[in-house]
Amino acid sequence: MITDLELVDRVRAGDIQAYEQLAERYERSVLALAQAELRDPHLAQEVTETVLLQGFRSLANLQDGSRFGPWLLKLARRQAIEAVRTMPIPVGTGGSGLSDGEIECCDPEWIEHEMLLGLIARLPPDERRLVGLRYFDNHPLPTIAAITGTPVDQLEEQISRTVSRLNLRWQRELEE
Amino acid sequence: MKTYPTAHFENRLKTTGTTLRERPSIVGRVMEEIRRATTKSSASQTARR
Repeated sequence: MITDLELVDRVRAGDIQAYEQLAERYERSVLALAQAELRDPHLAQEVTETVLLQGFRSLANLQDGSRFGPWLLKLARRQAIEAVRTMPIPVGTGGSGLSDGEIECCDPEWIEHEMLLGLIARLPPDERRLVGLRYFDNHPLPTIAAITGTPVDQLEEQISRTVSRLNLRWQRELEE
Repeated sequence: MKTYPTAHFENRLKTTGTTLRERPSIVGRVMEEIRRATTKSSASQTARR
């Protein structure tokens, strides 16, 4: 498994293919963040596309290549917030004219997913990246260690701390 | 406050992850756009020379 830093260096050297690996690595984490902010699967998908393109175009602004994940997730948050700000407000729909994505909002299981994504979106970018790699992309710890360049035991501790904190917030949210 | 076991909560995170993985990937489209833009930009650089 190649680290983010190596991939970023390759992209900077002109290897566009290396960016595909980075995009695949963070696609779901970006999508999760956009979904949490926008609550619309189609718009979330559009924002994800914009963020992944922006990540490539703005790579020169990233100083430390090993920070690609947290940096991209910051871009994603900014982009999602901007998309929320400019989202058209539905007028007089009276519950009609729902898109496919909006139908999902009535599903209790979907509401739980969105609640959870909302909590994850409020984590610091480093923790968000770890949760994404571990649970959204289902990577085993040694792979995440290789991607992030962090020792496995340190990683295990970080993820466990983050999950415990999320679990506590999740319980609070359910009780409210 | 009653706290649910971490393993139970981790399963919830994994289920949400599965839901996200079911969405079609857009990386192919993104890469196509990047390649198109890169080719266009190098073609215009060559034309300028």
